[in-house]
Amino acid sequence: MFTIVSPAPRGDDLEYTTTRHHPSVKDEIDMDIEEQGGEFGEGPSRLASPGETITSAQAFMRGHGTYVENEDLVSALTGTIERVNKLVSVRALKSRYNPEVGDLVVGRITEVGPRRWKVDANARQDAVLMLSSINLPGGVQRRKLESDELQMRNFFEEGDLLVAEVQAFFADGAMSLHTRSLKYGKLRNGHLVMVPPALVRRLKSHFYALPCGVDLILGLNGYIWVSKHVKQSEQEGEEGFDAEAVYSNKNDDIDVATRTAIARVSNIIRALARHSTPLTDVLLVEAYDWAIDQDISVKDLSAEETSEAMVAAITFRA
Amino acid sequence: MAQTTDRRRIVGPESSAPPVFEIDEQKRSQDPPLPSRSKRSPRDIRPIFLQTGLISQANGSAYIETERTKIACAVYGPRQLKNTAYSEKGKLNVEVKFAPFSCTRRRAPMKDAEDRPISLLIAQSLLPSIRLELFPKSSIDIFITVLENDGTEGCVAAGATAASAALADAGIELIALSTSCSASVIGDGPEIWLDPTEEESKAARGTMTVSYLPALGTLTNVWQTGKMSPDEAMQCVEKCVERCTDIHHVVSKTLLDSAQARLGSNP
Repeated sequence: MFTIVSPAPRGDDLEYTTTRHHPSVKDEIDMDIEEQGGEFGEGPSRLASPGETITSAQAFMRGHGTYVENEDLVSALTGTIERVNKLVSVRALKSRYNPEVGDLVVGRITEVGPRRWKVDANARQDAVLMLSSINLPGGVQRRKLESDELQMRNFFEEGDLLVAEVQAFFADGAMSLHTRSLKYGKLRNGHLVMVPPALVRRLKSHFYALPCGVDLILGLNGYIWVSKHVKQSEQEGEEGFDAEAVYSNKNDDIDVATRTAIARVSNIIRALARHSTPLTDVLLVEAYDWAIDQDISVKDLSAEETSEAMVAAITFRA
Repeated sequence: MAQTTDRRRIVGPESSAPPVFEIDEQKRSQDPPLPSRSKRSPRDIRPIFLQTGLISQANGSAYIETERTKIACAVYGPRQLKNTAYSEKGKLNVEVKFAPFSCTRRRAPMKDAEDRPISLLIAQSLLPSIRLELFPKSSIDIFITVLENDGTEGCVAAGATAASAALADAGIELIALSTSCSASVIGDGPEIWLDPTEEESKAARGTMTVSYLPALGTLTNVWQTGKMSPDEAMQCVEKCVERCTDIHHVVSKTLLDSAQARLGSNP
């Protein structure tokens, strides 16, 4: 928090330093970038605000969050400047999810349409899940039939949660999802936690089974699914695909211990998100153990002091 | 008007009058024809307090306070447009609401004649700075709540500045930050006073509000009311543009500080 009082009246001849730099100053900025040796990530990261000139557009290429104005590369976002070789991009600290093909997302059905579902996946537009890109009942991979179109609500209904992969993009930038894997599909037995998408990094796997009997799906769109652990063998099913189980709307029986564990993990995720800590399974396990060690109740985890202590403790260890 | 009242809401009395104090009586009897600027010079604007991220459920938000003008602004989106035809570019919706207690007279908590023009003015100030071509089929919704109003001009200027900060806070791609400043022409001198209060703008012959992208040196909106000569108008624009550049420092500093704070909390 700070207050800025308007400056004292100055003479008309005084020039104000705006974000438009004098050529000589601009050269120095360019030099700074050179000196950092291509690693914007090392040391304190440089921040930019919209309209701020980053560097010259001739020597660098414009990436996401930047645009070119008069041969200058200008930032369009508030965030950290990142560079990969000649590509300079600005990443916002808080924004909607920017989908990429192959990303794992958790979403919620908002609308059932002709041969497709609309899915809210925290992106700029609703995602689309085509009837042809889900696993249809009947075991083997088969083509969709007219009867499938008529009973779409048997598969997914408005409000259902699902985990899917980004398959492709439409011409207008909307993403198309698919659930054609046994790992994907409808979600049940758990709890949705929403965090800023920037906190979930691209990992080798986004499915985790925590030792406390809780399964975790880290959606790259910042939607995280915390649920009761399902054994690998049960998940697969005997014949590979059991439509009744996959599209079931009923929760299994969840005992009190598991419910507590789910609630505890959810609260830990929220606390870490409040402190903008990137989420990994290792960090979550550590935080969980810390909470158990310190004998902190589920409710107290959401208190500001506790979450601060937790973040301090686990980031110190890591 | 009778049809538009909301019967479910507990309404205030039909009419009310402010209590009359002895000091007020004295003041009224010796009311000066022109308010005088004793605390700040004509070129000075009121001190600005700006903070982002106060409204947690919004995608981006900002709160601005310039003495007795207090405005909260929330940005939702870009999100999918519902029930509308395909649009290549994103849509910008600006909605300005006055809190019932924001003005000297109580404002009924519903839309009235003043809200819409102010919304349009703020939308015009922001439109050229937003890269709407990146958001097909989407809408960006800006909700501005005026908590305390000290002059419509100051309100539009502060509102537009706060909205731009909130847009940047929401991570929406902007060409540049848009800042606004107002000016008033007072007396036959003529004197130009920047950032007039309600009292000053009432006494003014004409007022002007200017929105500007300091990073690019582009004007986005000019709103003039009252009487002013072309020469005075040019002076107003110049002075406002100069102050907009100062306000830009405040806004970008706020944004960078809040970004730094977020980065700082995860080492």
